[in-house]
Amino acid sequence: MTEQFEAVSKNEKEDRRGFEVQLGAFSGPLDLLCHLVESREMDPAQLNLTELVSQYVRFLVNSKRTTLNEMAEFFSFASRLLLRKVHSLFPAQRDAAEDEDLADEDMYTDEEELMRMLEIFRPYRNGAGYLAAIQKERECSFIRIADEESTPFYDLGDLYGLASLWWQMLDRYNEKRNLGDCCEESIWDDIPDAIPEERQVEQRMEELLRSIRKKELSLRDLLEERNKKILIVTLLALLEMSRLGMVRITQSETLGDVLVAAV
Amino acid sequence: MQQFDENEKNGMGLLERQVEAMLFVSPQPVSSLEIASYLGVSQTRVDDAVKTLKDTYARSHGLTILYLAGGWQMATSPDLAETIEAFSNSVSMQKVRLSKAALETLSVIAYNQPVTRSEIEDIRSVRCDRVVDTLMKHGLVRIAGRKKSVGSPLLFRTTDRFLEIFGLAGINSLPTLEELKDYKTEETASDPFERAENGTEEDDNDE
Repeated sequence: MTEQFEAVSKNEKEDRRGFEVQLGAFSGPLDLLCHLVESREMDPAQLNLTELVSQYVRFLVNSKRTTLNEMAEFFSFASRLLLRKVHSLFPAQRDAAEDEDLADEDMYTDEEELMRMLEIFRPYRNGAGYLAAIQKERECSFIRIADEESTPFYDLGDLYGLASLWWQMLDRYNEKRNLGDCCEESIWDDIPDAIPEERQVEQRMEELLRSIRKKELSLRDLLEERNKKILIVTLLALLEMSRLGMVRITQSETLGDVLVAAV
Repeated sequence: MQQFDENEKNGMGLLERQVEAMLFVSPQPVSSLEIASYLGVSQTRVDDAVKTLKDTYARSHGLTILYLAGGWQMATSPDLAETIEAFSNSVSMQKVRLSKAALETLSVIAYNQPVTRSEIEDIRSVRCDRVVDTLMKHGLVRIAGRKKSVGSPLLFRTTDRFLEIFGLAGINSLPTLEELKDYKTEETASDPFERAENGTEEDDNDE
């Protein structure tokens, strides 16, 4: 598999006149990087895709000759990497059908492996059948219902989880107290709940530009408003500004602050 | 004392009546040890009293005594299930509806506890995060610390409520994995699974 892959990548490498990626510990052709990420040998969350695109742009500028096919290939690989990165950062966003496909694709490499997995799993599946049977039997008897049972069941997890929840809550409380009620009297109360109008987005764009011209701001600062309407309009304004090339959006480290600066 | 023993032989002695009253007021299973410590008698005598009560109930009462999560619990007789269900809506609240995926995940946790989410996924070959969350919401599974390995993943265990819902005295009451290899699921699993799936409210991420 590896030999075959290397042979293929070598040919492609020659075809692409040697575009090589240098990302952190990885150095090599883009298709190899894509293969490593898709086979889960590399963590997609660690990939700096902005850097990848910058390197490709530098390569294009230097080589000064490239075919449409090569560019299409780059976009194909880059978007596959982007998809993997998005999935790794937002695992909960993936839908069930996709998970099933992934499981099929990644876990069952061959029939023997599949049989082995099924053999391991069989007693558990039977165990589920057994549980269902004894539950059915148990449900024929009813017990007294105490008042205490109507109180909800709280599971706050371990001490670490509890501590982090506490600090988050305290932060939110302090923030709210500092903000006072001024937020409530904002002019944005006039915005109807319907889809924001262009005018509102334009107005917000101007406001945002004024703020970020003074200094680079993090996305967290820009979205700190508690009001849902303002959040939506701000996000739309940022998207529009990004599309028009009015802002530069960067993130220096994975899961770090996203910085928004005026171009 | 002799009088007491004679009463016991006849059936409902003072001890039996005391145990009966305690089980009547308790919404949770009560262990023999706890009853024994309150009444100042030996655990064996409490067990005997429960057995006498159970036999008396089986002969002429609408009640029974279940052994759940290491304790005794007074409950209605299984043959009266339909009557009781029709009589009171609130009793149907005692039923927990679980999908096939949830039962499979529960089975993996029960046999491997304490276990991490990725270990469950290795056995089931599908993602289980939402199923585990559902089991936690039902109080059937709880977090039992973190594993001392890379990333300190959370460990999961089954709860006493799991034992109560499935009518188990303890986790040891489950058949071994070896025994389950040949467990016939045709008649036992097909019906309960359909029943469970029809009534399910959750959306499992692997089905």
